[in-house]
Amino acid sequence: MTFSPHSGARFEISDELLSAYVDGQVTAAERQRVEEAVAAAPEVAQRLHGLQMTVALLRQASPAPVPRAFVLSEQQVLASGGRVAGARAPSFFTRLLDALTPIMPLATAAVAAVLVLAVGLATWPRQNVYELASAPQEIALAPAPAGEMERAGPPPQATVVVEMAVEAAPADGPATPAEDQEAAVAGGEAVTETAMAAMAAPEPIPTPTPAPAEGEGEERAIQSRVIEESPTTLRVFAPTPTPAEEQDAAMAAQEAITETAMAAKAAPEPTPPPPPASVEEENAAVAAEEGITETAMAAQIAPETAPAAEENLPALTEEDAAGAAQPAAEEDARPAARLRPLIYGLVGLLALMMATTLLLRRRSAR
Amino acid sequence: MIDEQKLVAAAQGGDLPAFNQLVLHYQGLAYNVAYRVMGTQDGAADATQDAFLKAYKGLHSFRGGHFKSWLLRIVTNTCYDHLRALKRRPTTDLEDLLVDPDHSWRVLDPAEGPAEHAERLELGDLLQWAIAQLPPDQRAVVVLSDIQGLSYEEISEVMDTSLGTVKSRLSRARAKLRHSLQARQELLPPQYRLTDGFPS
Repeated sequence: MTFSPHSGARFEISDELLSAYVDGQVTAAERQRVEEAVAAAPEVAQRLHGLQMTVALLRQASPAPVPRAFVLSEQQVLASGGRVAGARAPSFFTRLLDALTPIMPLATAAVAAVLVLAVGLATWPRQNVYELASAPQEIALAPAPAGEMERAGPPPQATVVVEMAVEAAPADGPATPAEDQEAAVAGGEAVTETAMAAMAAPEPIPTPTPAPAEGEGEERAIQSRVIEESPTTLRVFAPTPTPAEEQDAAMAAQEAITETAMAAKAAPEPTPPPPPASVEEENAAVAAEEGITETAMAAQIAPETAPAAEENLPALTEEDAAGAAQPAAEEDARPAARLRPLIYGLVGLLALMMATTLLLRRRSAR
Repeated sequence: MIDEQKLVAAAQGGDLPAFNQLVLHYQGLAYNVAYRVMGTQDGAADATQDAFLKAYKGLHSFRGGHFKSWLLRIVTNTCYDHLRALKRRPTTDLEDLLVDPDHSWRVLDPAEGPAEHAERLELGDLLQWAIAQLPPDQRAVVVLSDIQGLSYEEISEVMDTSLGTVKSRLSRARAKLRHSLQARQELLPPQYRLTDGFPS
């Protein structure tokens, strides 16, 4: 609505009325009102003139030539789901091809992306293990062989298995598996004591004592093996020991070993009925777990004892690292082996889809 | 002169050639409306083709009346759909699309002198630009009324709105066009310049 202050409310003419007046779409009364306002008020006349010029300009617009005929083909109508009299509906195969044509390139790209992902997954873990195995200045504790892992049940975070090769006394006869297990448990405790002793008495012992003669027949070797059963590598950082420290620590360890052997020997009495094998294994695992914790603490807190541990460990560690590298590689090659059928399948599918895409493209070009 | 009712009845029974005769008769009107609303030749061609396909498939819903108005309603609604789709995934500036530099009407008419040809091109571009400034509903009304010359009643049938709505939309559209053209009046032919006696 427009109001002219010069001409007064009498000549209030809206744009809508003026527009309708230009088109002749007004009643007789409206026409008379507009004409009176135009005659009396120059501003209304100017607005009307501007509107007339605008409409005249628009009517000057050239019609756009039609670029092509828009007649519909039978195929066009049928493809859009329409119906044509006398026309045969397209076959299921034709409709399937029509539906596949737009999505096939995208689906092919998606399969190619999955293939790349699968190849990446198959190659990644092996590289990771090699990097870890070659890390310097660390005692890399390789995973136990699969058999040992199975015996130990679900793997704890880190386990120290202390193997004690104790020859039983002749009177005792050959050791039964239960006795072996008990010996292992005792051995684990002995190692713990060893570590505690090393912590409690860090003073150097003057002369290293060779292996005691009296225990020669009863114990041949005590081996401590630190085996990491979890996928992560347990790293024990130890400062490089001096020769004196090595001797001291070796002596302390030897004393502890002797005590252990004696303790193992001093318990030949018949033991209570052995628990089931699985319980024994659990006990062994628990004892060994405690052992590793304490051993690791001892190695970190009392550096003097580290050489002793290292005396036993280097051979074992190298042996284990070498021996465990093979199962580790095999273990990590498993994802690749598992993914291999998938990768082969994806390659085949990708080839098939690419061929189909090319055929569909040729078909639509025709 | 075609027998529109007969052709429509035949097309409703699935007679595609009969419908194509209607297409040939109305394609100029449909394409021009689409071109002015869409602003580009390609956009107009797509919308027109799509509208004819929709019309053929929806012929069963045509219950008589003016086939032209019914067809133009489908054309304008299809143009709105295409414009909405363009807004959702714009590839270029919509305003730039609305002035098509490659439109075939730029071809030189042998009966037209170079000066007239240039003037016609300038005026066509200016009008298309001014129409593109309008919202789609006002654009359609002004195209149907001032370019295609439809009556208010026909426009109200095409737009499926009341006469009052048509009047107000047309009035608003013309007012906006007047201001747009006034802003570029130096490009207008002298007889159409709006400065003389026109309030600023």
